[in-house]
Amino acid sequence: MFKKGFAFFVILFLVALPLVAVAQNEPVILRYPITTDPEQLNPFISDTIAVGTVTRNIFESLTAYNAATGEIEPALAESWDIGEDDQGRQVYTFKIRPGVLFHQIDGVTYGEGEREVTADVVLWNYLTALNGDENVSIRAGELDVISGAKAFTEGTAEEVEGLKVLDKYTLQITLDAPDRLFLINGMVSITSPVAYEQLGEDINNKAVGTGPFQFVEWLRQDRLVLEANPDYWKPGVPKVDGIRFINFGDANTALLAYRENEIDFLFSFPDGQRAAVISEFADDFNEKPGLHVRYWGFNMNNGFFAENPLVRKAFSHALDRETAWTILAEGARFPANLGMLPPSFPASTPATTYPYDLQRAAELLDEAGFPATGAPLIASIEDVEQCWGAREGMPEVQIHLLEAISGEPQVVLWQEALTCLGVKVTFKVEDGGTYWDSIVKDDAMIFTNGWAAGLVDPSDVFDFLILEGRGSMRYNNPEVNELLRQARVELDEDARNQLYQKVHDIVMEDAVVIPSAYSKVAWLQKPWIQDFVPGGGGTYTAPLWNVSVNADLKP
Amino acid sequence: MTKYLTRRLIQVIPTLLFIYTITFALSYLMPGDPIRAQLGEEYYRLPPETIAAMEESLGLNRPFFVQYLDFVTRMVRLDLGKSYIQKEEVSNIIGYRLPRTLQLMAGGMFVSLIIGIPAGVISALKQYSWIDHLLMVLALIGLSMPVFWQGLIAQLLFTQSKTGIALFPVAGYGDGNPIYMILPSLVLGTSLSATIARVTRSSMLEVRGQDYLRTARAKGLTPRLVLVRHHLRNALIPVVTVIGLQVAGLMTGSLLTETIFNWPGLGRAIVPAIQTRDTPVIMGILMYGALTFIVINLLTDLLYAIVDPRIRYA
Repeated sequence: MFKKGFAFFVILFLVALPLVAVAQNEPVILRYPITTDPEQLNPFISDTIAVGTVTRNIFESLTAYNAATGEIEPALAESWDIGEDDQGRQVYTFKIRPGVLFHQIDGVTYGEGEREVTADVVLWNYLTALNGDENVSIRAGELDVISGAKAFTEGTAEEVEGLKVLDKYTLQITLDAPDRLFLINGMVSITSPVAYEQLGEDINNKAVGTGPFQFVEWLRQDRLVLEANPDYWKPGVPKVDGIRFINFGDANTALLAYRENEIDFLFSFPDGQRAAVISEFADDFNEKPGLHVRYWGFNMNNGFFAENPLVRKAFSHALDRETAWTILAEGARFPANLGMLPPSFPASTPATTYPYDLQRAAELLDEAGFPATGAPLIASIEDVEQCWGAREGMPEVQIHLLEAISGEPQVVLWQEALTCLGVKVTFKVEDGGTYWDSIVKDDAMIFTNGWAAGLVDPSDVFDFLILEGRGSMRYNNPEVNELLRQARVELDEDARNQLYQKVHDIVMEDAVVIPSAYSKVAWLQKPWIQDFVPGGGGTYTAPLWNVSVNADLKP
Repeated sequence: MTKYLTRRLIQVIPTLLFIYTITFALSYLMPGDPIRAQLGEEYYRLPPETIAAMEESLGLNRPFFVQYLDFVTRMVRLDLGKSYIQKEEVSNIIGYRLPRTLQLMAGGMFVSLIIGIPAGVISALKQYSWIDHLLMVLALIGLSMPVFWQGLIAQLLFTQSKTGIALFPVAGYGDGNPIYMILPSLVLGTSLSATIARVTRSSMLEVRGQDYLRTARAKGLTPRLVLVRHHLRNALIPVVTVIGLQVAGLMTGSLLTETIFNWPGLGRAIVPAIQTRDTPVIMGILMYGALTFIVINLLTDLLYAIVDPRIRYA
């Protein structure tokens, strides 16, 4: 009897041993949900959030911006010097880290020494990024601060004067004007020239870099798989064996998958379920202030609102941000009670703000020459003591809305308030293609957009939305343009912030934009996930190579 | 038969050309273009010359007829072009996704047949009994429930340990593992099974009084043989017609089912393509969809001859 029992346990042990061994060797894969696939993976063609979510794990630049700390860290360049040449131009000298190898993936064969990153390789990447053919690169405009870059892009020069290889591991970049953000905005994702040539057009669907993860496969709208780079230069990184980006077209499905432990994170909550989800997964929930601003913009190119600043101000006073975001949207965002910049930015408190005040809004409309007459447009509105009659001379206002955000409570709330003021408002809900077409053609008098800054720096908002009529508002104020140009080259931080403060004051006084909300970076993560630290720019900025998995906590 | 088949196949060409023209015209008339849709606010960061060059390279600045002729000429050469956004051959995109959509449709069809036909037969045989009423009420519910709602309920019941039994994975393709296919097929097939059950029932009832059934019984055939060989077989002709017509329903249903269940089929490719005005992908997928529909309808017509030997094609 004893012998039989002993034999049974021996057999059980022998059978179980390989199973345990298999379990121990099972690769640790991060299961990361995404809502949109990257358009493609070519670093010279696109730089959207969907692309960045994936490619920041594959590509590296000379420097790296740590979104969580705001620090600029060495990456492919182990060090750099900033000096001046004899013409007083700013000169960056980068020492490239020797021995960094490009990923070895299917379809790419390297010759002797071709896998290593050298100054020549980095130069090739800059020249490709500056290529004037938009089929090759759309990044040339971002790098035109490099001396001679414009001439090269336009095809009038064969070389870029400001790019020089000093030796195998040293590259020098000279700028026409000082640019304090060059170490962030002037960086190019470095890919292998050999892979670029051998993959041909497939470079859009496969990525070859030097980063902590390398490309394995991509099935669009299904999954994109990366594995740990076995030759990565930084010891101990990455801490997992791979990442599986899983595309969930539907937020509900992602939530169900999270509930069943099929994914490790949840980044978007189904509409109207935010509070319930947070309550259900209170231990998994994380939140921090973000760098995204949601705003309503007026078209300043022409039309009714361009000519009526008082009406713009009245509309600004009619938006009840507190009720919209804190109560009705269950705290999904912070109400934007300040200005265009989220509170973590310098110069984020403009002199003029527009708190919710219907009485003041009505006075402004009267003052603008649109007095209220007759009976109110609507009989009564809850929480509003008084409503005003239809306004003489006031045209019917059409507001353009992206379909994806048309369900936000702020929309209905604003419409109610404007109607109460005596303004007839209709909302035109459009899909992405139609919406952007309306804006580009100046058909949209008022619209709602969002802008996600990558850096805690006013230039990352103003330079894109305000400078020289670039943004959807088409706001082009010479005084503001000049201040922004001065700020761009101002190296003293305090002086620079004062310039941005002036810009912010002017823009808010002009009421070209109605800040509505500042984002919260919110997500769920399973208890076994460790060191997932996103920056304010969004969850996509978290360095996944630092993330580890505590297998003991996994079910 | 060969003559009939040849005639039908020749008819495919003008039909496809008509569909192609209408679809292309609608796609052209849609406001917006792929460059704006893709770039969003970033559109303004690029110099106008770059935007103009991008439009030029995609051929978006050409007149309607030039673009149309270009697309038609390429289609005749079976060249579907390259996606504006993904920069990948449309034939590759379809080549990967079409089999998966067909797989889901086949699963849905299978489910609808194994539920719909027996339910219709039982209902007809037990006319006006409680079981007939129950099955028809269930069929009505099945018909009335939108696919996306069914999908969500099915997920809650069969993938969640908290609200039901976690029998199946929530979503995904699972590298072809059949378990991933069961729930989407059930959801897709349920609505269709309701239609099939109702048509089978009414057709069975219609055939019930025919002389040949009385003759079959009179000559001593067992009730099962009478049911299968004479009753059901003759009742199936309208059912086959309905199945053929329901293929379109299966295709549109699969678009929603694919989204809910993360199924990498054509539906999940065409929605973002429409949103980003990726005309080559839209045209390619719609053409393959139309072709699939035409071929299945042709097969349905040919199936009549098998179900009813009296039908001859000439």
